[in-house]
Amino acid sequence: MKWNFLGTLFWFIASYAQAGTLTGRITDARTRQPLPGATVGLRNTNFFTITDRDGNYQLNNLPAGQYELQTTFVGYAPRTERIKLAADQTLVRNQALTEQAGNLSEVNVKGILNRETEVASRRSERNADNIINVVSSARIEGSPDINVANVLQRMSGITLQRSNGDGGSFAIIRGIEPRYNNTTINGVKVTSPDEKSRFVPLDIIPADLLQRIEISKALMPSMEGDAIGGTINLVMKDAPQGTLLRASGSLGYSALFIKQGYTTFDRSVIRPKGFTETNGADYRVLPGDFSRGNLNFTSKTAPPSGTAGLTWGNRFRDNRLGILVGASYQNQFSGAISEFNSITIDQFNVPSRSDVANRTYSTNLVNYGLNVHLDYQLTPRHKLNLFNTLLLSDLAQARLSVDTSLIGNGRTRPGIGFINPVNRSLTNHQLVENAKLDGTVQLADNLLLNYAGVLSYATKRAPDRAEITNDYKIDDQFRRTATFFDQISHIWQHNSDRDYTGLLNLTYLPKRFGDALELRAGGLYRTKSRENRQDSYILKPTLDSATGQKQVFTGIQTARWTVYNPAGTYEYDANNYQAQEQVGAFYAQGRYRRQHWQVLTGVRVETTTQSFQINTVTTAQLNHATVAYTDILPSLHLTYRPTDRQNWRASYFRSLSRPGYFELVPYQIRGQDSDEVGNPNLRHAVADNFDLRYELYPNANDQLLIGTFYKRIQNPIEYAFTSFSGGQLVYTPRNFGTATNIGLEVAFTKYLGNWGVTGNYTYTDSRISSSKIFNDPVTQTSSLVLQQRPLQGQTDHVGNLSLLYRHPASGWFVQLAYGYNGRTLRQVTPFLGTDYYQRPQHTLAGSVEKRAGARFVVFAKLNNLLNTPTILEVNTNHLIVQRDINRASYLLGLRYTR
Amino acid sequence: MNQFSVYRSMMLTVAVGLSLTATTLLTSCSKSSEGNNVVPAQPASNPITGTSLAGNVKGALLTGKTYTVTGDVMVGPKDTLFVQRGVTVNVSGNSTFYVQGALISEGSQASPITFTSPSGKPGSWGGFQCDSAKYVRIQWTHIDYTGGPDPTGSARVSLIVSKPITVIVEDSWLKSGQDDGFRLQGGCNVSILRNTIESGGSTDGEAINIKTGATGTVAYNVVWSQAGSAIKLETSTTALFPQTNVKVYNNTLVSDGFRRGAAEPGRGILIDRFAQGAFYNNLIVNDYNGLDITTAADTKNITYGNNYFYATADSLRKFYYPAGSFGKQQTSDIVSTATTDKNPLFTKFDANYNSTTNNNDFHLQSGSPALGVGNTVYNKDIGAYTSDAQGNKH
Repeated sequence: MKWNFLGTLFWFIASYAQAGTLTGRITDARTRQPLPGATVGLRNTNFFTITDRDGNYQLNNLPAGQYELQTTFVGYAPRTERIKLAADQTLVRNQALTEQAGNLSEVNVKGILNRETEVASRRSERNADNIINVVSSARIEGSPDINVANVLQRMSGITLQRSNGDGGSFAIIRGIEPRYNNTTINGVKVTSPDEKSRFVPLDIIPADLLQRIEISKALMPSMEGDAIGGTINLVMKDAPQGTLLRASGSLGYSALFIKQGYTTFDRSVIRPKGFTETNGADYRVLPGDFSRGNLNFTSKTAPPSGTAGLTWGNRFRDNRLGILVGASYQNQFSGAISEFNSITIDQFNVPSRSDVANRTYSTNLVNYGLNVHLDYQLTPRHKLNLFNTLLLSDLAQARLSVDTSLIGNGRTRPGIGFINPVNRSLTNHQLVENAKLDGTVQLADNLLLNYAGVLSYATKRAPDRAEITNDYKIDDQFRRTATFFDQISHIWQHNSDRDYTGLLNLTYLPKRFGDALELRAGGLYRTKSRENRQDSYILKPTLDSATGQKQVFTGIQTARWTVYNPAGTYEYDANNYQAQEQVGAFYAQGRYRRQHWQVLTGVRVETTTQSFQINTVTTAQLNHATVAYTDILPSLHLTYRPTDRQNWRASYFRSLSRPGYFELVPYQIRGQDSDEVGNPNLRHAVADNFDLRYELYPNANDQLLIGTFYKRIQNPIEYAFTSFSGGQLVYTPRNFGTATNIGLEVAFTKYLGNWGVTGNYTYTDSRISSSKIFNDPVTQTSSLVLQQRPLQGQTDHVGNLSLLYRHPASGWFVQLAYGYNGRTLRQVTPFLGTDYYQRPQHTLAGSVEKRAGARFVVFAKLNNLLNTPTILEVNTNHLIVQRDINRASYLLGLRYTR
Repeated sequence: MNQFSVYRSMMLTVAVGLSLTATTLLTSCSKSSEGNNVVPAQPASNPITGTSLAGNVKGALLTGKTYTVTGDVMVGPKDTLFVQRGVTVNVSGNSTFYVQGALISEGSQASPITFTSPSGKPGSWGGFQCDSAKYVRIQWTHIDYTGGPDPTGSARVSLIVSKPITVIVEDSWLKSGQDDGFRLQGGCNVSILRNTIESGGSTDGEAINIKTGATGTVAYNVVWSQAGSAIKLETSTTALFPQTNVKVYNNTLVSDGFRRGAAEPGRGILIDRFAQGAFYNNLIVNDYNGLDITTAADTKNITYGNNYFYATADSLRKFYYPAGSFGKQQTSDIVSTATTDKNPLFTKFDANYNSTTNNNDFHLQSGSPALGVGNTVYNKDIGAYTSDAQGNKH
């Protein structure tokens, strides 16, 4: 259906009448580089436009006459030229702008600079009060990436934490796990659709809704204080200066499905809600109540992936009202071939495999995004903004797995043993909604009030995650038994997370200092409520009446079962909880500028109250608790600007990381050898962060950033085994002393003629000590000892290098993006000295664009061209723990801009 | 504004920032890091008065009385539940005993105790969840129809202990539980003597499942028609020490391991994952697999012999010691080579190992070839019913 819609749109656009036309290119007078995002217009008319990536512009349907053609671009001196246009004439006018000297502050930039361009990104980085990295939508559009997660992994100091399952993708900033970072949309916290954590999955956010992404690596008092690695701020597109219409569509395919089928199951039979929710708590589920179709796996040819996007914006009522609407649709089919091995150790602490599982994943992820932005000049002194971002994501995944047990159960050599086919189907529906109304009031010439109210809401519904386990055995003579039906589980889960936030900021420029001193004060209050519900059922095979033994599995349609827990787990499931959090924060900061120097300092105070409620099976268990804490977060940011083109920056800030909502809940999940439990005594982590950075901006496009950082994290939170006081081991989140993280970051961009090269390199070295199990064969005792290691998620060396070629005359744009991820600590194991590391990876992606006519661009996005596998190994003996193969994927599309 | 005042205000700003920073650093360093001190309130326990039981209780169930459990019964860490001889307890509605303190069920041969469900079906109630109990002693007690899963969907075995305490289970009966019979782990010291376990596990579950560092003795027990293994031993896969180390002798293990199916058959005795111990004088009849000492066991510290193997079906004979495992036939073993060879001569014996009703009497007839051939360190006879006074009294 979407293709018909797009076709109609293209037809409509193509049939638009062409009259008098003005075209040309805007360049930098010194470097001769094109200036994308410059405003080109005819004075005293409504005709104007923005230059494209190559600096080109085109104004159509112009009535014949005399005009003043004016070109403006922030940081450059405007140029005006008189022109005369005849009817049906096409006039070419190129202009070269000269860069203006002087320091442009953020305030001066507002409303003039098109922030979608890379030039604007360089300028933001250069003029920022703190240490940031910015990537623009123009850069994203030309990249191989279609979602935020993939864009981020090419940014300086960022790696991704990914899962093949339904886990989503999260950002690791400077080797610091997602738990220590935060994600905001238009500067305000996003609630998480995850049932346990605070993280926002970045792979569900379509990149084409964004104006830019800002990564703040040093926090100012005016920013939310719960980021240690950094803050990812997603700035959505805002209303343009004039009319804007862009549309794009693409089709793609994953190379994985050329060689193998795509596994599907019947989604239509899935009950949207669990039995307790539809039939009441007293209902006892019957065997016939469960569907079979979602455990009936069939292989077919994978359909192509597709994307469609539409952005429209305009201004009304004498430009007082601006509107932008962005819509995005991404339907992606992807897969993975995965080997997953369980590792155990013997009494001499030598790791070996205890189980081998071969898995294939067939995944369909459909993302919908809607971004609406309205701005309205209420009075000359009062401006209103309304932002609304709505993200929807539907996931359907089939996982087929064959698990072979290597230890016990009579296995003596490869190829034989006890084997479990385990097949799982899951679907989930995620929703993230963020609505922000903000206003800016000029109370006096030197006093600005900014206020905002935010509603942030996220849910995930995962109805009927179904899994069937069968078993068979191959004996030492390679004789195979029949396949027996072992167990089925059905799980209904849904969660919601809702925030209400109010913000107030006052900015005051004391007259005595001109604009040299800026004082700001403000605060926010946020109240959160969150709930997770899970209802699980286990089905066990009925005995075969003829043999008195477990039934042989002859297919899902003929399997017979009894319901092991007909009451379900709706009331007491270990994953059920309610949590609340109230955060009150206020800050005061001052910024003082004098010649080459700028100092920004101040303090933020954040008061947190976290609480939870659960139902417990026995009264001896804790069923609710409230913890409260207050943090004082000072910061100091110094900037020295010896020239317009250089910055030296030094900063210190203190920040915190709050425990996950679920981590505080004293849930209990019983395991074979150990139990996993929550920890209501878990404390929040607090970090002192130090940064130094040198920045060089030779011209509007180019840059060189060299920085170093040091972080000291008190009470870092790690999962580890605990309690040898007798009895079962307990696996629980705990605070472990102090962690440190030191590193180096370099980023650069250089254009030369038609060629450009941009890259970054990050080195991180973090240290933490956490408790591990040591089995001593000499004394025959097991004990917990501290082991020093990097923080989980740390990669030692990370590098990205992109080569760009653009040929404005022919409209070609080609980019080749290479990425290197060094050794990464992916998983901390219980055993002393053995952790799982991801082997270094080299990846290659590319994108190609070709202008076709004045309005159209044909593009291709090519990912994972080297078919790079992801391989996890045990650090001590390189035993492979996990190997994922995803293969290349290709996307071919068309983009229209008016 | 003059140059001086500009610099002065600038330095002032820096000074304020730095002093704020210093103050916070100092105050934060002096904070304690002992956590939030969130602890659950221990509910008060009520002395047992009537014959209806539910909630937090302590005290005795009096001899000869019949009690009804109407909801989960909890025994606090400082409390004791003492059950006197001759008591009958009817448990309704999948209720469970959660014991953090002491559980003593002191029946006698003349007046045994009974815990049962009126429903008469496996999985009707939750058994004794004594994970963090201080002491457990169960004598001459019937425990029937356990294995109802808890409200979180987790399986509940008839008796679980996960702490290094003393666990004594003697002369008792488990019948028709849905899952494991005894799961004893976490370094407890066990004395499992002269019990009878029958029809345990619907499609899975071990009768006596000893894990994670438990030690002690399992002797003179009868296990008939268990879905999984009659006796299973293994050490933790994470903390290898202390090892699970148990003496297993003079048990009669019949018709076990069939319901779980041929892919994952049960054993008479399974010694897996770094477990050690001594295995003598066991009478292993018609089990799917007999004595399985896997290569993952602590094979250097395992001694075994004088075990007696018999089967009424020719197909079972090759599984006495399953191929590919470490365990091999010992010269001291008594191994039947035909259905007519070395029949142990039970008093009454149903040769159908898939039978669902127990029509057996596993006392040995006089002249049984199992008599007088045991390892005398343990007993001169083989099996649970010996000619001396040590054996099973049922």
